[in-house]
Amino acid sequence: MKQISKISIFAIIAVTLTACFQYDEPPRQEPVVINPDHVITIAELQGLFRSQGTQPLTIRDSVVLPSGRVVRDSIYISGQVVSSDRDGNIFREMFIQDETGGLRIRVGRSNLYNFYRLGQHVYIRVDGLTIGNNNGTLELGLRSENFTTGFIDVAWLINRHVLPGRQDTLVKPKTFTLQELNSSTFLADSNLVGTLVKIENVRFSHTTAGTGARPFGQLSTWANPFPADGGAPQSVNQNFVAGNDTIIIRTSGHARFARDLVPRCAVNIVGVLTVFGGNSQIFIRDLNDVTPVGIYTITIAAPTGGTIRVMDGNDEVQSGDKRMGCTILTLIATPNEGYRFVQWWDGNTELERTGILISNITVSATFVEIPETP
Amino acid sequence: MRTLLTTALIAISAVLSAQTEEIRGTAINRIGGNAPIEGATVHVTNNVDERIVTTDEAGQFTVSNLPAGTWRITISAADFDSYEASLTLPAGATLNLGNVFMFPESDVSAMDEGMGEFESEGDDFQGGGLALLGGQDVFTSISNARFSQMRFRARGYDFNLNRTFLNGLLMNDINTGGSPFSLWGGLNDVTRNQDRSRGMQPTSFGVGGVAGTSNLSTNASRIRRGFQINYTASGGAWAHRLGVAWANPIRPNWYLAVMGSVRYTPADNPLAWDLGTYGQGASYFVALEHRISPGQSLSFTFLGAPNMRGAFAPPTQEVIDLVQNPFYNANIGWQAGQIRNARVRNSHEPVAMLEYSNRINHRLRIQAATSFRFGRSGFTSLDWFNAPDPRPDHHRNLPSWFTDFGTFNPIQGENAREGWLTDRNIRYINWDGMHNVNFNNWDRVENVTIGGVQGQTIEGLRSKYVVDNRRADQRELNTGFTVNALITNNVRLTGGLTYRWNRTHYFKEMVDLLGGDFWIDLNQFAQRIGGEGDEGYEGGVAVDAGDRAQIDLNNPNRVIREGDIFGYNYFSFTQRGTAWAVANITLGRSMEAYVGADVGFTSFYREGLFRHGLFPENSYGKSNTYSFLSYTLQAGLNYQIGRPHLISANVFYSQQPPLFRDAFLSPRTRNTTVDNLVPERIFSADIIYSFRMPGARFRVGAFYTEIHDRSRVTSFFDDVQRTMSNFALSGISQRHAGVEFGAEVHVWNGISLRGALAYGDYIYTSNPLLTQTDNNNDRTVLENERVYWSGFMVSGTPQLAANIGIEYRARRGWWAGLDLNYYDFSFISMNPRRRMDDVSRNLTPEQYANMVRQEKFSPGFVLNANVGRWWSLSNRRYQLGVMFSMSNILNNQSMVSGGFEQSRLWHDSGNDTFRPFQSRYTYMSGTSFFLNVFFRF
Repeated sequence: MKQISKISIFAIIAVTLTACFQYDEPPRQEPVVINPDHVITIAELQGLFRSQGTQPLTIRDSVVLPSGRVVRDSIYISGQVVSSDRDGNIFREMFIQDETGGLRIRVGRSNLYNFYRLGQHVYIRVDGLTIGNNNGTLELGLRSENFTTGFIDVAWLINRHVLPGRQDTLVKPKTFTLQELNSSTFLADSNLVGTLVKIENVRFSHTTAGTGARPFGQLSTWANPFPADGGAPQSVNQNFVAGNDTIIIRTSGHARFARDLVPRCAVNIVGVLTVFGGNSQIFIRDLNDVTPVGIYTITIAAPTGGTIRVMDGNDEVQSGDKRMGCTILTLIATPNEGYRFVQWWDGNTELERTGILISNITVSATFVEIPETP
Repeated sequence: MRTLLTTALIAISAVLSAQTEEIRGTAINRIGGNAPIEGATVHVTNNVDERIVTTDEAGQFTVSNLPAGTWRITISAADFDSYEASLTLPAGATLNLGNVFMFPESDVSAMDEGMGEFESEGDDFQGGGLALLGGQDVFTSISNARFSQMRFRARGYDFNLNRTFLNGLLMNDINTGGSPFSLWGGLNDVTRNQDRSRGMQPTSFGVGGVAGTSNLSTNASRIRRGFQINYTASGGAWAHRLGVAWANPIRPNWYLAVMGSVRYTPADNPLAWDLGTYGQGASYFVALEHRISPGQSLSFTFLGAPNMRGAFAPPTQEVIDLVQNPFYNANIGWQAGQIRNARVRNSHEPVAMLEYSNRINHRLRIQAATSFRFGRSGFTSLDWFNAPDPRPDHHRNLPSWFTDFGTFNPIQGENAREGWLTDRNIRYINWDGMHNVNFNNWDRVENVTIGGVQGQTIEGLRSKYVVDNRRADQRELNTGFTVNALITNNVRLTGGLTYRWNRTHYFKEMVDLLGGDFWIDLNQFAQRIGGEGDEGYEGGVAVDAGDRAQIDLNNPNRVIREGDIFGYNYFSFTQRGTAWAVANITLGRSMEAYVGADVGFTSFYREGLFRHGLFPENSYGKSNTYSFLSYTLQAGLNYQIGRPHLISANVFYSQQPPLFRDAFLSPRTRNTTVDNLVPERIFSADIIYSFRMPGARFRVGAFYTEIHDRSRVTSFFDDVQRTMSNFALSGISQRHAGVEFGAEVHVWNGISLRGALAYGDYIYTSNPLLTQTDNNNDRTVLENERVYWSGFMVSGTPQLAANIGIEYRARRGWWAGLDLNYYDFSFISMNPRRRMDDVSRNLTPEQYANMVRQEKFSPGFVLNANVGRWWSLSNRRYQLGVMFSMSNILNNQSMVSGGFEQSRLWHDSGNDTFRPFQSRYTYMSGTSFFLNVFFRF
């Protein structure tokens, strides 16, 4: 029937209409590139601040650098991102560094790592922003009455001042000794504050309080998210030593890894260096910044009256094997028929126990015969 | 044809003669010089038996050999409004109706379907359709046609109190009680055979409902024969609509009707006030009927209305003032230069139905029907993981964040304002920006589940922002059996049995990864809380919560690609059966009484398909089954006093089970139900006086309704606590009382005046209990705490609506009309949290008043006009009609048609006080146009 075919035409039109409202994929945003004529180095910007005293300085439309170069109309610094808020150890701030130095930028947005990734080049437009010294660390933000600088926390301002450049490989940190990092002259000469640094072969020593935190006992977690008095999460300073020198690794109570245990073995640590109240502090980005060093040998003394097995996960460790520090080992003691287990070499009496490898170790156990019942 | 249902008994200005009962009369065209109408169809039925005759050249008709009793007569002719009346035929009499005046038709086709819904985040409330109240008496016909622009709801009821049947089967949504009109949206030309009950009074397929009952019949033989094509252009719901319908007998005793329609609204519809509410839809309908023998027929119907529509998000007053536009829509943004709406409703829910009816003899008729409904329904939404909230009107993005909350920083407030005004990607959703975040998020994740296999590793672009589709797909079997019997000439008994079985699948489906390759299904908010020992801690602490972060422990860290199910996944199973009976008794010549009752059982349970990390023991598998008894009792009277007067009085009492939606605290996460699950009770009474004589009709009524023990569960995204939160209210009581008035008078030579008034007082009469839970942890935030809102007003409709209008119908088939409407006493939908003890601490009297006060919207006038013309061509073979209407001619943009208080509260930790966020408003559109053209043959 003619009428039915007219309805079928409708059906065809209807089906094709459902093909409407498809969306094109938007173009990838091009990384920003700023004409080098308008770019100054981070050290030059910091120099401008230091040369005028200690009060926060708001950058105007034009600057005259010590070299005599004049930059006007829009002034940028450029650096690679060395911090990440993904794991929550820092929040609403970002550190960038170029070859000359590093700087904290107070970008007031959460989850910044989605927009400015580690290693990415970022341009910061500094005219209109304020640079100040917050207890030893220079930072860039908005002019503020109550604080050194204020957060750049309105989308419009962030879009104007913090410009994403091209992605790049991660910045490789240089290694420094604890002595160097604790020396204010060294830090001033090398302009290290605000940059990514590496320290090697340090070992956890003890915890000191953050703001009002209570010290823990032997075992420590990186921070204190649930203080006993029910208050807000607390940041904690962990002290790591190498020889006679100590450095503070500071962790926020909001960090994702705050409840993880601080490793007892020797480690290398990578993090952003800041100074607060005369003390150097390092902020790690996540637990990948803490890598165990030291390879230790496990010796198993074959006991009489029983067997000992040392397990690294599902693998059995043989005597003389080496493992990285901080490896978790499981020790299993099995007495032979007619014997009973007494204790491990260190007095522990559990038949099966776990521990963290922090040095060379000789594993032994004592078994005694079960006397015959008379 | 639009049916005017009149309820007057026509006087017997008659000659009593002979022994055979018969009805006779003459159909007259009132406008066309009182010319007789030839070929009009006269249909007479007493719900068991029916007769059809046609008027002759003199417009006369006679229907003979009728048993005594109550009969309903419908006289219909092409291009005229149908005439209906209810008659009592005493034994041994002839009823002569005399001149029956018929008025030419004004075709108000295409009711504005889908009038936009409230945007309550996480709330699947469906507000479409109208709450119809009874037949087309003069009050109802005016209020339905005129008051929908302000979302008027008759008597203030929620939609679930109106019962809508399709071929005798109740089609209201079994989970929400909502009206089912969207199932056949766009099929107006074949859905005109609506039988409406007189208010609360029962019908031939069930007891009545408090808000009226209507039955839609899709029997192919009753659909207007011929071919019709209908086009509508409008600034309202759909910019363009085209429908084509055809119905005819195809062989002796076989009838076929088919219809197709398409609807389309482009993204930048110049006529629309709301930007970005684009959409498209196509509807289809096939009905086949076989007359097996006289009085016996078998009908098959298959219909569906697939469609998608972008939704509007009501803005706050701050945003309205900021952009100087009350129709700002926060759901939209631009993607690659094209408008894209984040919240698109989409559905395709076909219904297949089989109906059998048999008039066994003139005293007994039976009818049975069964239907199966299936398909899909959902709405899309933005989702994000460990990324900033992308919604442009998030409170932290607005200037008020810097002036009203936390630190006072007006300079930053100015900067925020500057950004809003100058950057489209700040003012609206930044689709391009979200894509670029995903483009840059290369990640490698270990220990994921891919395709059911755990322990895998995946690398690629991991989406931080996605669009998902929150679906509720229903499968429902619905059956009913009805018996209509004339016990004696004065007593008609109807009764039946019904059964419904429904399975609804609720889940979230990944629709668009926005440039990424995959998503990992995790509860990002659970990730941020600790395990034991976090009692009393509010907000988020970034601690990796391990198992607690899993959405489905059976598939940890599941990799999700487009088309996969994630987030939540569960079934609801509901069964409902009823047995009902109604007796209609004719008492003497002028009174008819009825008594009706029904008894039913309802049972439902939830079955979870994900084992939720926070509720591992209580989320996977079946919940307990909850069963309820329901019953309804009603009675009433229709009393004819003298010639044109009719008084109708009705009482109604019903106990109804809670809906599945209101029974479970947080069905997306667990099997826990609300405490104290009790049925809801409704009592209602009304009395109506109506008057009808040629050229004038008048109706006035008063009603009183009490509702008790209602439960209601609503969910919302609390971006202060960063979790989905649920309010379970129980013990809600309401009282609705009011008067309704409608009148229409033909004044002179085609000019009529009409008016209507609905004035009600709808208030809450109890202080319900509130239990609040958050989805990101297993704590109960509040348990059975008192909400003090007794005496506050029910929201969702103006409690005063008035209309006065003038209409002219010319002889030559054109007409014009002008209406002035006035609306007042419309109140905002309340957030129960604001009226509780704990949030009122430390407030100054002024702050306290601000916290608890319920906002009343400003009243106002709205002027509308319409004009139309129809032509009858080639000796009435072809009809062509055009109608144009303009609503809100004075462009009054200050009328709020709906609004709600936001559900979350701001806690100022400095003063330890709470403060409400700004409320959100939907404004009635400014001047809008509507054009309809139809062609029939």
